[in-house]
Amino acid sequence: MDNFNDVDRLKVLRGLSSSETVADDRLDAVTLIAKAYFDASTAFISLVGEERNWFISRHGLSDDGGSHDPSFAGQVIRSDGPLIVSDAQLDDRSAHTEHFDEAHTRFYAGAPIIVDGVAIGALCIADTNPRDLDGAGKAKLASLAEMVAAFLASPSEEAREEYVDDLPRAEGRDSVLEAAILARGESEDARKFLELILDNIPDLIFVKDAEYRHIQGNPAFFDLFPEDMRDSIIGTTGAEEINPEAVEAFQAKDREAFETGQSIAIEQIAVMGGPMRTFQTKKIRFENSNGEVFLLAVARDVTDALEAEKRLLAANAFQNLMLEHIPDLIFVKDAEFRIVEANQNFLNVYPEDMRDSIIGTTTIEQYDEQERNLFLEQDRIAFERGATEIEESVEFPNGERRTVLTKKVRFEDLQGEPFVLAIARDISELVEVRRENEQALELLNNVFDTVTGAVVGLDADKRVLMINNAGRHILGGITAQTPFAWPEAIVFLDPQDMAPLESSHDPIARAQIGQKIGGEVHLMTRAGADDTRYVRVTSALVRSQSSPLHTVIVLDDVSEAERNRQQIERQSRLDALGQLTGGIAHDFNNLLNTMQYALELIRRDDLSERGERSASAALKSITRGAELTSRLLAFAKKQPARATARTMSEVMLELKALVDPAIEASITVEFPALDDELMVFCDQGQLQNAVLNLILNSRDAIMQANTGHAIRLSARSVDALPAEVEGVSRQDAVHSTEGRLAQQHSDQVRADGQAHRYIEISVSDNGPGMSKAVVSRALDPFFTTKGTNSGTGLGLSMVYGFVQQSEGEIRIYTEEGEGTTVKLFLPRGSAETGQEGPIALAPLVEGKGETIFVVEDEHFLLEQLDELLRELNYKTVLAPSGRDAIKMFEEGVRADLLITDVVMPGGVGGFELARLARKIIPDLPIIYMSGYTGFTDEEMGEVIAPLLPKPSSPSMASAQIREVLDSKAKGDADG
Amino acid sequence: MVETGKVPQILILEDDAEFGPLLKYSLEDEGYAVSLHTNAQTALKHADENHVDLVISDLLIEENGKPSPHGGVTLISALKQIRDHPAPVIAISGAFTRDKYHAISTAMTVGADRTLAKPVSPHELLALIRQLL
Repeated sequence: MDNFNDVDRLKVLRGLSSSETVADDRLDAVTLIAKAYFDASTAFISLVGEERNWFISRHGLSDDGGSHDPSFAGQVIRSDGPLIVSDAQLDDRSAHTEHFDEAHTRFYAGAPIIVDGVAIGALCIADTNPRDLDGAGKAKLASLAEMVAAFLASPSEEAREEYVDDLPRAEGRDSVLEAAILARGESEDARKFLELILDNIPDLIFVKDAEYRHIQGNPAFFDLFPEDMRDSIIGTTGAEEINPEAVEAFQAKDREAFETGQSIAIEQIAVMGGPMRTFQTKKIRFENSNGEVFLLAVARDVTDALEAEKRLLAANAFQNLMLEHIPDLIFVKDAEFRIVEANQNFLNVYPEDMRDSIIGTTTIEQYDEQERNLFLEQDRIAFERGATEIEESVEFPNGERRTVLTKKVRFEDLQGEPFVLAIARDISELVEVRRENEQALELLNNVFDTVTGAVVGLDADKRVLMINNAGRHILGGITAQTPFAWPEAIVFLDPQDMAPLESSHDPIARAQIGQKIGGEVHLMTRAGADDTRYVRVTSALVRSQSSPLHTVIVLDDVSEAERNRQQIERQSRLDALGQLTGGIAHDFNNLLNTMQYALELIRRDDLSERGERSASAALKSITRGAELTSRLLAFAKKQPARATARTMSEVMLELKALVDPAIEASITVEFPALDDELMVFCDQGQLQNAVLNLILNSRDAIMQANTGHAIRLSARSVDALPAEVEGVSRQDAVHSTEGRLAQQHSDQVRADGQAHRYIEISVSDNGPGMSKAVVSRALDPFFTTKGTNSGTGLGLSMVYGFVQQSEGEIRIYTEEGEGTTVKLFLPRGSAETGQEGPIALAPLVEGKGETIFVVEDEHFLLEQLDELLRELNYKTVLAPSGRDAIKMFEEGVRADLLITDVVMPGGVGGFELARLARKIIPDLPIIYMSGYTGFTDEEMGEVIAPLLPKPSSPSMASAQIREVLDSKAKGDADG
Repeated sequence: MVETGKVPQILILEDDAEFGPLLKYSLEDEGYAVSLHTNAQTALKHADENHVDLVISDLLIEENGKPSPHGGVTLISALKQIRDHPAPVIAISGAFTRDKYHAISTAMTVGADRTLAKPVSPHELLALIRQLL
């Protein structure tokens, strides 16, 4: 409170004559500078009077000034330095300073104006935002307040004449400035302006004389020194104070300036005795009007600038470090596609000796044409559109091939020149991983598509998200791309009534609601399609949050296994039924026997007419009962059977005699003409019964539906029985009997190239056919479609019993609306041995392109032989008789072998033909053919040759032909 | 009716508890002497120890529900093939049917002269007996 003294203050104020009207534009300059310097909303100078205060200069306030009592200045003069109120709302010192309240002022700061050692007012700044003022700010405010005091103490030019200026003055400063201004002939305004600059410029400006003594400095210069030292700086070198270690250096630069006119130095100077700061100092020699030499020095604090530069350098270094350590290739191209910047990684893709010369060139000649064009095209796109991105496989000039993802972005430098920044990332490993993933996926897909089970992945909406080939197949040859809706045509059936399952039983519906289906077998079909399949259904819920898959369903087609199982089941059911009915029938027949015997004994007595009628009715019923048991026994195989061999032609002849009278004339029954050789081995009576049964069934079917009128019988030899023909057995009800299966098994086990031959007897009709439901039960005993009274339901089951007993097989081929064919396969008979033994299935022996002359009067046989020989790689010449053959030989026809029938019409038989042929071709090989094999050499006559029995199997014939031809060839070779 | 004098002796093998006695009585009514057996052993013993003019044999004799080894086939082969017995044999079996195509008989093979399938008619049987005697 040294400066505060009301009495002294008022005395001083009074001393400032007419101080109420002091209006000095220098003061306005100060407030303007203060406002601008501190970026304050207001700056003002307030003098504190006896009763009131008044503003003598202000900027930013609208107040009329002085009419109120802005007590802040009053507070300031009571402090011994700058006073700061950071936030008026929080500071009760300003609670009653309505002036600031009106302007919503939050911050204010003031420095006392001290004249003659007495604080008479304050230089204040104020702001609407709360803030603070640091030490430098306070010092600046104080120096401005000092300036105000100086102005008040030394009135302006006009005032100077009126008022006595008794304040101390810095002589040297004024004199130098005045001298400078006067020397340039500048106006007083210019001088004021220059003063203002000097006083407010942050640079240190000072003047030294020829002895390096400071003779003047601006406030910034004096600020270098501690306050108590400032007054004593003028007239000294001051160098020790600011940096005792650099005195020599300072003086050297001073000397340099004096000698050369100017010098520039970077100097370390301690400010206010504080830490060293770096200044850039320019020193200029000048002379005043008196010819005295001085040094004007301007020192700029470049500490912050240097710091900023250092930071910039550090940032650049960091950037460079980054550029060199980023694995990407980074480079910049100019509009001519020349590389102007590049990181080391980019340079490294070039051979070592080339790296120094990359910058400034396009380098495109280092790449092949295709890559080059691609690069340039991408550059152009980037320049035109601003950015581009491409994945490319590049062979770099250093020989490495890498896959890179290159982004190019256009930018402009400060001069507006366009460039392209390119960042190429090496994604070779990524690509490799991607490729491996794709391969793994492909492998998985291959497996997925190869498994025979159908695998179908469904989402919660029953859409198919994934499906393998087997799945597409089993669901009906679906080709649609996933996802697609689960085909609604797929229906699961109840095998009992073939009706679609309700959704509570439908396996897919159940799987979708979360039930785990564990290998249930279901009958599946497609709406509108004829085929049904048995599928084993397995399902699992997918418990993955990340996958849209809801259910995975596996369908295995088990139709074959299931049908086999059902057939075995039916077989055992029939066997059980057979045993049961057989036993019952036998006992029942014994009961009938007793009843009939007893009734007939009764009838021997004289019965009344009524008694006779009753007994007769009872006997008729017994007869019918006996017939029934007979059929039951036939089915049950209880009927003794004696198998014999018989020719099929005989069988058919007898059948014709039985059938013709029994069948309506409107129905044609065709009987085949058969080879006498064809024999069947079975119980002949039962065979007739069975075929008769089939014919009657066909007749009933035709009559019932009135759809057709023909029944056709056929019989033929079947060499290798097509036991399970794929596609036939699946679709048709095929019933292989146990015996047949066992026979086939033993044929396979024997594995000696031999097999039993069979006779196939088929009965076909063009009647209405049978439905699947009917055919599947056709062989069951007591099953009939003929109404309650017209049939026993034992016909086909009896046939079944018969073929089973005969080690044969029955197959039913039927199509609703098309007709039915029932085929019986029975063992082939032999006149000598009864059942024919297994026949060798010798392989056919191929020819070598030889020409064979075949002579045979039986046209069919000739054609057959011709066909066989051509298939065996022989050429053929054919003649229908010996006479024709001779004629052809005479005409020059040649052959490697002659095969001739022995007995032929037309006068020239086989033996005669052979004799004549040898006359033309002396060494012609010859084979005879005949059904009779007992010819003697005498009967053969001149030409003795091998005899091929008729009929011969193709394998036997081919072997014989080959043997004869080969022995001839051998004989020729031996000479 | 059998002529007076020598009463023909008939041996019957039949295990059916109803039919056996019925057959026996009906033949006795006709004046024949009948010896009824239910298995081949006793029947054979009777034939060995007594005079027999005619044999009527069921082929299938059951023992505990199963075909017995002491049935008609055993009896007929023992009589005809081992003993060369002169008495004619009529074989009866429930397993025969009347179908003319089924005229195959084990009985014939082992030595039966005639076969009859159940149910048997008394007229047929008596006619056959008279014919054979």
